[in-house]
Amino acid sequence: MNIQNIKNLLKTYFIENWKTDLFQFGMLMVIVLFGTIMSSRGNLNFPIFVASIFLMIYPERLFRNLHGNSSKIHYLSIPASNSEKVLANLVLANVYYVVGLIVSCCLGLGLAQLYITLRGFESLHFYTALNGVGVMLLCVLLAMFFFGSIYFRRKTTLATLGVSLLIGTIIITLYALTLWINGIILIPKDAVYNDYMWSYSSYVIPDAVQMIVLGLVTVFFYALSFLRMKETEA
Amino acid sequence: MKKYTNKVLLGTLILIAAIFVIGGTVDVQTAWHSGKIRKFGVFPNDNQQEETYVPETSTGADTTASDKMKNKDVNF
Repeated sequence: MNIQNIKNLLKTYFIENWKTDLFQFGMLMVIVLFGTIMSSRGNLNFPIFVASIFLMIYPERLFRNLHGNSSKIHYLSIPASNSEKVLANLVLANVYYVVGLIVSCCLGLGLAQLYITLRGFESLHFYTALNGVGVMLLCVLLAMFFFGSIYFRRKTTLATLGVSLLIGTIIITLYALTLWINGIILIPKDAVYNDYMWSYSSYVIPDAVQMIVLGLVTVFFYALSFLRMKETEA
Repeated sequence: MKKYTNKVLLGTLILIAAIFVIGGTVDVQTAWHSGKIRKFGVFPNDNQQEETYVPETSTGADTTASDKMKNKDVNF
């Protein structure tokens, strides 16, 4: 692992993409600005939701060179190892782009606040439902789309979204089938079911445990990304 | 180089599916054995409710407009 190579990769990225990034950050700022002015509320869930969509789409652009035949050869022949390329993109997705999105949201909210104050309305009181578990969930989603952008060859964001939804549906169906089959074996026809529905309230997993599990899932997806990148070269 | 990504993904999916199947089974079994799902009539309250069920009857007092109508002698 050579730091200089990573620096060069980042430098190349900024030279090639600064205009697109600036446009996207500007677009987010405008959406947040108008969304906040129109709702006249300090609800931060809307900016976070929009920024999350931007974040999920971003990895597709990071690895777009891998998806064309000629650009793939060019990308793989750049004098840096695959680990360095993945690491550089990981820094871009997790640090640079996240900071960019936060700054854009803050600017949009600040301008909305300024506009509302100048019009003589009451100041906004900002609030959000996002907690630590929510942040870790966003990390997992980013890692999943990051892996998807290496794994799939075309329309990576849509492919990742589609496959995740399909797998999610299959697993939920399997879980429902398990409950149903167990129910048929155990429960007589005149059983009282009502209390069972409420029994789920007793399954509360502590936030710290949820965050650790989500952290492990994030690491898993990034490890798979490294592995897949190595296989792409081979 | 051997390709492991697909195998790792498949293994993970099978593991997740197994966790959900085992988890679902444990859920229902726990609910059954702890009495959260129970056969009707196992607890005395269920039967008691049936025995002590009293259908709504008139108390004799004309409390509502319909009671008054029912109790009224109507001569044609």
